Amino acid sequence: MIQLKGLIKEYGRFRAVDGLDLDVAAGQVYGFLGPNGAGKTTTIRMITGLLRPSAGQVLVHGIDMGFEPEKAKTNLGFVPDRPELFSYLSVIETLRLVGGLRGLSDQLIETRGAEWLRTFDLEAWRDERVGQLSHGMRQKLSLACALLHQPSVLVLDEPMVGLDPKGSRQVKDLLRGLAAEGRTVFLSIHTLEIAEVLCDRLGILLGGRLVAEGTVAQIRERAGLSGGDLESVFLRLTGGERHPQGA
Amino acid sequence: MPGSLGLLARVWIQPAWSTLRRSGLGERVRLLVFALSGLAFIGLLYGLLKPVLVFFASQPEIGSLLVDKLIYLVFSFLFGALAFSAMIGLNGRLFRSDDAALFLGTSYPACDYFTFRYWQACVATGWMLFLFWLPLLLALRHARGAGWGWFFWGLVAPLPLLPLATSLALLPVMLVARWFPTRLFQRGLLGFGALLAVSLVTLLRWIQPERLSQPKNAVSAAEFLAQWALPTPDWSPAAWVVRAVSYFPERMAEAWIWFAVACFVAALLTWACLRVLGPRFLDTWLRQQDRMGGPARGGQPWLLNRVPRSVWSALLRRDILALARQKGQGLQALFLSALILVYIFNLQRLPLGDDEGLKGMLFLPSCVFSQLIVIAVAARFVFPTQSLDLKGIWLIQSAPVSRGQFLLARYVFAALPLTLLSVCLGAFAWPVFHPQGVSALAGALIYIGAPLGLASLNAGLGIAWARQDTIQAEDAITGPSGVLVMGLSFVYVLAQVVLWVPPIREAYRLSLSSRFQIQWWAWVAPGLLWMALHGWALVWPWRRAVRRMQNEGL
Repeated sequence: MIQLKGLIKEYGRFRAVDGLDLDVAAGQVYGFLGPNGAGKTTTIRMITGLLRPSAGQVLVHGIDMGFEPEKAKTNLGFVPDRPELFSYLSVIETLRLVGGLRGLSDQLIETRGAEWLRTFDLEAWRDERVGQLSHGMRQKLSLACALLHQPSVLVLDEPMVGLDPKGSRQVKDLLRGLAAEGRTVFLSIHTLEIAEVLCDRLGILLGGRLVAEGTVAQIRERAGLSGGDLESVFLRLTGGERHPQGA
Repeated sequence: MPGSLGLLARVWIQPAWSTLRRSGLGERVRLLVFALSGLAFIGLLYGLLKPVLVFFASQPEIGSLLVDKLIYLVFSFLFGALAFSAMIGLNGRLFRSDDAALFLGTSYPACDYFTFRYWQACVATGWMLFLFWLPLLLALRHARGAGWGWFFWGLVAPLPLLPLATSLALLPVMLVARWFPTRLFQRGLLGFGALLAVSLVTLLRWIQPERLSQPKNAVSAAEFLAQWALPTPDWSPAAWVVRAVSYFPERMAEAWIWFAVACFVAALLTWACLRVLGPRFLDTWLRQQDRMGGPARGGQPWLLNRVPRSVWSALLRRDILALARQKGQGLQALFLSALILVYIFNLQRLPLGDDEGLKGMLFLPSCVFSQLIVIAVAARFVFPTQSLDLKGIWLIQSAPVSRGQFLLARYVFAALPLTLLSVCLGAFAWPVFHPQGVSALAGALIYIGAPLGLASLNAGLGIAWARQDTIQAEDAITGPSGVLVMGLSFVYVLAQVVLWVPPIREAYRLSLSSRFQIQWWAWVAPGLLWMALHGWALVWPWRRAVRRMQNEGL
């Protein structure tokens, strides 16, 4: 579903993503972990076609994002790390915009929009301007926008940030449900407990390179901490465990 | 815990002073330009008023009466304007300030916060009084042949008008805030203010006060004013100030008495307002918070709902809503409409007669003037709409919409209304100047071609220089990028008009000459430059926009 081949992104002399190779299959929830500045958001923006790679390829459903971006984006939904939306549009107008851009009919936008607003408890805010919504509500609206066209690939950049416990549970269940339907979910995440529960496979990124990849068990084994919790595994792989000692 | 005046110093004056001290060169230059503009305005007004007042004062017997009537009219107008401005200022400062919750959520006395806002509004509206009064006072000093003592007295005497106007404005603001949403009140006041300003501008253009420079008209105006019995009641604050100013120094005691009356009433009213309304402020503010619980709704225009949904309509619909819902732009639209009306009105009244030479000579400058209006509209609406739209752009960019389609939609959205406006202006100018031959071709190409380039410059550079640090249209327009776009737009218009001069001159020469001998350089060189200019305006901004989108992943 998602294939990254030798993906590189450079900003001047700085290499944010350094030769990333990755293959995410259909029906999987793939978690992308890494410390701040590891290159997660840059990778996600390249997967969604918001950023052009310096080298390498992004394939979604086998379609090259570099050569046929419109076609590749057709079955892709995206939620960014900061849910910044057009503050002057109302909730329903935002859904209409996204639906219009995706070529959905008016009726379909209204039906599906109402469903997602009900799912995310945003029905009462349907006609309110987005600028008035809280961070969590905007996050939910971004999710609704990403899911409106029922994409087969969903890419989310830290989707749990700003959500209340109920919303967080809702999103976890939703993502698991989407994977069970055969859709691919690719997400970057900071909360290791959620990653452990939610993700089928994990990739740990450090300095733009993938330092570990596989199921949670495989990654534990790789770190040599078969019985340890994911936090210890993560800190060992990313070199973060040195910091507390040094402090 | 600082009192209300301490708060005024800490929250308002001290930060402003430290910002000024820390500001960079660009910021200081802007401030200097702003200050120089203010001085230029005062100088201009002084220059306009001085001859009129000198003429009025020189009228035998009625001279001083005329001047007094004029000052009374000015102060009555200024007092009304001050009260109106204070109403807008107080409504915003008391009920719509972000820091209100910060102070009122702590144990800081609500009364002190109220008093602080009262004095802040009083000082903030005061500048308006002096911006108009200062040049008039200078002109009056000259007309009366008075000394500097009178001038300084004239500066001090109107001061009681400030707290008087603020106190009078406070009462409706507090009353309205108890029962109605202040947001609606603010919009109503701003709308009314804009209508008033537009009416005033239109009225001034109708009256044409510059006609007073002709002695015959000035005499008629003086005679009219002398016979006009103005009601100057004893209870009018404007009358107290006029008496305090005009009795000084000949009737010193009376001047002081009227000044004392103004001061006493101002102090009494201020004390009453602060004592009576101050303790009720917290309750009113809390009521207002309950009322503001309902956030702004989306209410989509009826027409937009009738347009079938597609990629194009979705993009254009969003652009229209972005433009329509930008804060403060409605008021600017009204002002620009007034400017357009005044331009058309003046165009129709140009005393050209049947002088074809004069018509031909003035046609190109009129093209520049009309394009200045198009530049103003583009800089005011097109540029900020694109420049402030960066935050949610991922919604569009992550959809299967090509970059070309996205940029083209933005260009069409900018170019269509600008071209329509330009063509309308051209349609008004055409019957006035009756351009012929090459002039007509130049006019047609300027009126149709220039807005296409201007749309490209403003929309393309709006995306290329998009701002992430602000959502205020005003910041985008007055920021360095906004000013630069305006400058480039002006150069673009001026350059294409200048490029039409050699062909028009050549055509004129040919019409006079008996031999048909074309000087090709007069056509080819400007033609090539003209094409290069339009190519630059249509391509360069979009190249920059694409580069920005590629670099920042938009």
